[in-house]
Amino acid sequence: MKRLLTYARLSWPDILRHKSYSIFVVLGSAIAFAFITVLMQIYYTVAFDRPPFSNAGRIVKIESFHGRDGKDVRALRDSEMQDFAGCFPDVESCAMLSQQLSNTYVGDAIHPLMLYFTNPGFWDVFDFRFLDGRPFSEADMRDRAQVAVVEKNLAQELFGSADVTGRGFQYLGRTFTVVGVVDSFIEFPDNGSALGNIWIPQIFNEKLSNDTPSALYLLFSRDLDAREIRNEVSTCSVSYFNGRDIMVDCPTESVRTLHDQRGDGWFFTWGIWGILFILVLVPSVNIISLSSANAYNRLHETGVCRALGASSSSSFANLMTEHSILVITGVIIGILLVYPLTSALNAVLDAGVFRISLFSGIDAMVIVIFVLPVFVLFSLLSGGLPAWRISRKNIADSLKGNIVS
Amino acid sequence: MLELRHITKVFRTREMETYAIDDVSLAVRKGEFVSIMGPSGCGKSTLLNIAGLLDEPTGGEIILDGQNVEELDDKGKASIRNSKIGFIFQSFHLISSLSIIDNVILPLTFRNGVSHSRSVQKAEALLEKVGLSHRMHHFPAQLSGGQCQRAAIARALVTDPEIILADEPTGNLDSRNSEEIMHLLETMNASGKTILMVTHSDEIARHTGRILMMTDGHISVSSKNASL
Repeated sequence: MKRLLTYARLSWPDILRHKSYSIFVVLGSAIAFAFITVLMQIYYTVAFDRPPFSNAGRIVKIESFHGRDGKDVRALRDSEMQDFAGCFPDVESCAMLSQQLSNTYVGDAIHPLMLYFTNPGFWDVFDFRFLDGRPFSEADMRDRAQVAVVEKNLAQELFGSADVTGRGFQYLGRTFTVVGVVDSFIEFPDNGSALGNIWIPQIFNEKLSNDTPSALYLLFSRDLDAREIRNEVSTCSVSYFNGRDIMVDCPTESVRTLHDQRGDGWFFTWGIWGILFILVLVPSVNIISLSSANAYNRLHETGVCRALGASSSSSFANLMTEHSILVITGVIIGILLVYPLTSALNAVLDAGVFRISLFSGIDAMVIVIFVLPVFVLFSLLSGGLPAWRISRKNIADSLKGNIVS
Repeated sequence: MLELRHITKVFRTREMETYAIDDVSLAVRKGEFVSIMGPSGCGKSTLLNIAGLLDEPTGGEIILDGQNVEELDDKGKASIRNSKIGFIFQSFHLISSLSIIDNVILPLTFRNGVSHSRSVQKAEALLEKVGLSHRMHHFPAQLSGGQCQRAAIARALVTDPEIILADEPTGNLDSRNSEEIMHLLETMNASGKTILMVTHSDEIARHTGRILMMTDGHISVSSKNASL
């Protein structure tokens, strides 16, 4: 501790003396880490199945079916979906979801919104974090209750506050009352379709025709592993259509859970790591060249410390202390920068009616399992190489200030 | 105390080899005050750097207190430099961003088991001894050359080393300050410290007990100083 304090005291005047260098390292690290944090938060949310996709490993979205000749067979109609879901012995719940661009009114203000129509099972399949209120239930459906659930950011935009339980909006002349508010979430479900941000019971989707059926999601029991889920979907789907004299081909390997589907894409398999590599490498290379120059400024001081009894490794630690102080400061600023950065990115993505949310907040685990290890790698790459060279130089040459030896 | 056996230092380029030190052997006994004299470029500072483990010899052995320290790894050599050797340099080599007392304490921070309060106590006592107690919280840039060298002597003594290696300790000082520094070194020697000093000045060498003459990488003459 005493030694670390000495290193910090040796570093501080250098940091102040080389202000341009210090500012460059801090800002370079801050910008790099803001992007790294956003990237890792998205990866963590998706790859680690965070809410509302906690059950992604046992959710299967039912897509269109093909006949044995490879041609599409007719899609399931909404009215058939409950029957179809009933064919699967291990399905715990099913979600139906459809969407429609609609004009809604809050007071006198008109808001063109994508409204999402769904069933109560939707709230079982997807585990949204309710900030207030509740989801709508079977009883609400039976009573034709005009209720809605709203996502926090949209609530803020429509009503000016996230505390909107009990507030109302008009759609097709009916007043819907908000019964629940859910937390923001990253919209990276399957195949680019969104889960939505304002939901009302599907019984009010009067315009929906059989040509535009709902998406159907099946939630399987925890007792089944992925292979058993695939087998059950394949067998039961074929059996359902056979019972209706329709021959479909549904091989087991074509059945994918939501979790599997994410792994199929390039982005979460290698794309994200490629971007991360570039995000770490580019600022590292820039900072390496600057910190090399800075380390040579400290060549004499390092030589003195080694002459007085510091080993190469403690000299390395000394040089790394200054670099680490700058990078830690940059990382902290970077994490704080994440919020304005993602607001800007969200604003760009939010411009359309789909209102895709890129980012909804930082999980502490992202900092612990991703940002901190990347910080160590970044520090070692950008500051460690020059520090390592300087700390191993001949002491007599270092005292003379000989850069080349 | 300190023995250098067949030390050689060769600087190699693609075209040629230069023998900075060519098979030099010398022994310094405990309590001796030895000076190495010679013209510029004769290899005396290189020899001192090798003796102080600041530079690697091309060949030969360095025996300190009966131990071949040349065989030690980096950590072992650092420990020897810290505990057994005190350095005084011509250009002081004080760290400009640290106060005088922090400069004096610096060698103790590389040693385990010495508390900060004990380090401060020791540094204050040494700065008092070299007449700098009123300047301990100043920075090197605020001190004269003579004062800087006295601070460097306090730093060399703070670890209570067995041998002091001084490379032209008066080289950057005027005659009055040179006399003061030599007086301090004589006092240290009188209190039992072994000193090996490099100088090019006859005047300064006269303060020492034995003078070694060095030319072209060889020790040519070793003489007892008649003035002592």
